[in-house]
Amino acid sequence: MKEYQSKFQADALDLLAEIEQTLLSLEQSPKDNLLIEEIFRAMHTLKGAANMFDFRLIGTFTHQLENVYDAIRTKTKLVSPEVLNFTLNAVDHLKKLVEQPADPSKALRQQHSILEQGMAQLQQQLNENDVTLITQGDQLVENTVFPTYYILMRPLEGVHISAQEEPAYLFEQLEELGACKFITHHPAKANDDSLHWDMFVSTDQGQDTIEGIFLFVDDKFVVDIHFLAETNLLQEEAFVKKLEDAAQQGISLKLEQIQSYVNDLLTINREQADQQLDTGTASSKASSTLVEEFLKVPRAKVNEMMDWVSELLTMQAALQTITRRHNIAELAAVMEKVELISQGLRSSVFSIRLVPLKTLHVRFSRLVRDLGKQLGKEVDFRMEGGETELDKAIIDQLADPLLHILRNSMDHGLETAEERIAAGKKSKGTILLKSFYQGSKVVVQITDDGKGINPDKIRQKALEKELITSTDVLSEEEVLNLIFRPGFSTASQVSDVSGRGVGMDVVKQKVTELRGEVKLLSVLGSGTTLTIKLPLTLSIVEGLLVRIDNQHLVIPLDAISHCYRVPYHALQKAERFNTALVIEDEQLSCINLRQHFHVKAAPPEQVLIVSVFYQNEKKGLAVDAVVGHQQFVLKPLGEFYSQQEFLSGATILGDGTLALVLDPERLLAHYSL
Amino acid sequence: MQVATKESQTFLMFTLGEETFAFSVSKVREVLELSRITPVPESPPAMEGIVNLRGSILPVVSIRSKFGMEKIEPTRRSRIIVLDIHTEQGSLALGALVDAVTDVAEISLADILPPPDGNDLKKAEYIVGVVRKDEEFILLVDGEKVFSQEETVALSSSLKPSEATSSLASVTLNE
Repeated sequence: MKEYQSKFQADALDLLAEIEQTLLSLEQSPKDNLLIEEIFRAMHTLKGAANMFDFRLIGTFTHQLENVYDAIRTKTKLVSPEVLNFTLNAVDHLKKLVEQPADPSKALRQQHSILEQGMAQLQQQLNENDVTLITQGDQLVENTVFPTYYILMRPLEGVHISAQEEPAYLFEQLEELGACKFITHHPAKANDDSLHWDMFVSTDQGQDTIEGIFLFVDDKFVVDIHFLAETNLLQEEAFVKKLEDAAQQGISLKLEQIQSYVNDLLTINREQADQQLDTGTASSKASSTLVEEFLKVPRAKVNEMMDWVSELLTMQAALQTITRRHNIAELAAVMEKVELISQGLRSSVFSIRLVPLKTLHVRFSRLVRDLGKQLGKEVDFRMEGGETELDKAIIDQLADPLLHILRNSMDHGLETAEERIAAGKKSKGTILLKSFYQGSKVVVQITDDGKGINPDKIRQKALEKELITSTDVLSEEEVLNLIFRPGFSTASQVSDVSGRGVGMDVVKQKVTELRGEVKLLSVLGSGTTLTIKLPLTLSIVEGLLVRIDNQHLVIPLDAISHCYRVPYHALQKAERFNTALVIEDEQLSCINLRQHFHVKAAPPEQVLIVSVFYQNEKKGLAVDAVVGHQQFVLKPLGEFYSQQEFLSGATILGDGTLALVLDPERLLAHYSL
Repeated sequence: MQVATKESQTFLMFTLGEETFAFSVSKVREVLELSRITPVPESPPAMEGIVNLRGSILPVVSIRSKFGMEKIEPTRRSRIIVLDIHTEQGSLALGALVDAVTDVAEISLADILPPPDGNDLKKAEYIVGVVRKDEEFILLVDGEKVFSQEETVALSSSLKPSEATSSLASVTLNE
């Protein structure tokens, strides 16, 4: 049952994410009926699944929600902002319910009954008072479908009509009914009685109203009113063009001709609509994303596959050694091919774990939307390079820091509309989330065109918080990056949105944990850019392979600054940090890894000090020797070693033996306690 | 492989010093010849280290140390028995370092006697029964009990801080 429950949860969260995404699209284009259909369908599926697993609370709630959208759908109503807000809240609530479907907390139950009341009101509004749900009149005219009528008016046979008698007043009256098109057919030569008018009007007032207008027409005229189509033909460019072309060429279209043309047009339209239905949800989603087919695979399977590939690579290395030893041309040729294949296999298997950054798009747009409403700021949020891929594990952990940055941009970065206009900017602020590859790294940039950060204020604040002293000389960049220091909160006025103590230091910490770096650039008055640079994946680490006695270790390259050779006895005084060590006129605190790993074997005469950066200071790690520099496949040590702090994992070397991968940051943190 | 029926179960026999023990084969994935065990610093004394099991990392635990016996230098007969351990997080593979693997035998459930009363407390916890075979007593060991206790406790207590602070450990845990 538990297994089914987690399956349900995964599916339900997917559906809710889909609904949320569609709701946000719907907010942008409230006239899109396909979007409403999509929401309805997703709700329907969710309801079915919830009931199947006997999660009645979710099932009933979704059912009510579905009813609301069914009403909107069948009555072809526009979705009001109130309905959208309510639905988004309901989706949030459902997400929480899905997390604990069997036994929701008390708070959740309370929220549940509040929302159910709201839903009942909404239902009532939908059923009773149609008008409240329709947002604006102009949208109503544009969007709603009115039938089209054709009116042919000609003088009675033999009656001559002078220019003054032309029925201009009729045109005005008809225009009051709705969209119109008038074509006056003047006679080609004098005394020809071919003068007549073609009038087309699209209106919801019905044929009776039109007849009413013509009731008092001079009895010199004959008037024929025909119903042409259920829809507004005047919106069909092809139809209007056809009429205009005919008028220009002096051709007078007969009623039958017009009718047959209308029939053709409607048939074509219907076929197009059918085609759109065939491609189904695809076309409606196409607006935001290209549709790709996805397979849902348990992560364990992917990990297993990666293990096999790693093993293959190890074996390949072994095979290579044998090939070199025997010098057989045929074997070498096969070996070369095997190498190519295994490299291809390796990269495609690793790419499975990579997911595009745009998977976070819904969460971002939702945050920007909700915050925008809350703060009363209009924001144009754009995402560029959303197809940039990162390891799923990184994306999962990156979401919160990115949301925090967005929150900061919205709250502190962007000004209010009035302030923006006063500063000569567009009233609507812009936030751009851009991502791209740079070598083996992925760069994520968040740029706002807000007021920027004042370095003087930062400096002032840092002085207050005693993060710097008044004698410190700092570059502007250094000053700006002070906001990443623990205990620094940018909010000069603590607001509800950000600045609740958790500041940018948490962002920095998280990014560092993901082996990435973060930088801040800001131009006062014109905006701020925050740049995060991350490794593509956590499962590959580039590092230095070092040796202590017969044990191998990997030190990640991005931490390493220099290597120095020193005699071992220089380290012997070291208990923990040997502060006495002076290299190149610099004092360097060192950790003797031999001691750390409790190696009893006799040390070599000379050892290497690998210096690494720790909180902008260099610290040394003493090792016996450096073996090489390469990329390593990082393997987790497994749950039995999860309390292991200063190792990020292990890697399998070419000969099948293992090397531990150090996390210098943690190791040094451990020692400086 | 012999299939366990209701009346009997298949056991894998191994030795520690002079004594013979057995795991139910239903918990055994495979038996490995000893390869170089890479020690992991600052881990519990019973944790021998890690080995490469076809591309993934297999933690190895000394059963001797678990049973309160003195550790010995591995010999040519030393083996690693790969066991399936079920935890709340799912199934894990764990290597048990033993002095030697001696036999696989079917044991009739009727022949299993209750464990002897605690002459050796540390070991007694894990013994679920005794079988007499020839002139020898074979102690039946509940593998899951041996490994799931303190390690999993250590695991769950370390899980929270690691979720909050560690990068890789928590990534793999959450998978």
